[in-house]
Amino acid sequence: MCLSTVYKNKLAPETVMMKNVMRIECKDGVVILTDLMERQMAVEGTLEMANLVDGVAVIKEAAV
Amino acid sequence: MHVDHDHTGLPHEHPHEHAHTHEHTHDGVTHTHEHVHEHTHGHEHPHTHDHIHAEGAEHTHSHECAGACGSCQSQCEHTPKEELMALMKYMVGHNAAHAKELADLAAKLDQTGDHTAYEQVMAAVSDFEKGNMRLSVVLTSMEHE
Repeated sequence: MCLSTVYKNKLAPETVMMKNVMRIECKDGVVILTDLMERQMAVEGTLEMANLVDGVAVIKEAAV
Repeated sequence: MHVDHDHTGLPHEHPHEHAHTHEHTHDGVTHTHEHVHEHTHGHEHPHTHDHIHAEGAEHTHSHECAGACGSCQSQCEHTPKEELMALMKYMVGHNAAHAKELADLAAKLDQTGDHTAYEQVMAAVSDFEKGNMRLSVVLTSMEHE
């Protein structure tokens, strides 16, 4: 419904990965974020949490 | 928007076929015929994206960037003002959707017999739409600057 801010590993200001995220795709261990301007960011990991009321999500980065 | 494949838009691998021509020798006779082999090496697809630019217009153009949009600096770079306008355009549309949801909620309140609540929520919807109209006017004037 609303645009979200996506964080890496924990919900903290310093861990913001992308703002105004309109799409989150999880495929083959990769999470792909797309913002309002169609910019994409891919990170190996999983979607740990998405709070659609607050417009936040946390991506758990895969261990290297 | 990808018009040719349902994939992530990023460089990727999947099985695909190429037609090849090979020369063969059978029983001392050399001849050529076509084979089709399956390959699984990585490759890139030209693709298109929808964009919202300063003028507020969405359009599609082709990229040869292997879908790695973060690396695309030429056609996809937007000024801060363009981004703000895109965000504002999104919000105007989003607010309109919320106004409709509230109106639907009001109608359900009316169906429960609470006509007073219905009228109050519809008054709020009206105020909400007025505010959104103001945003829309600002956006339109910015688009024409």
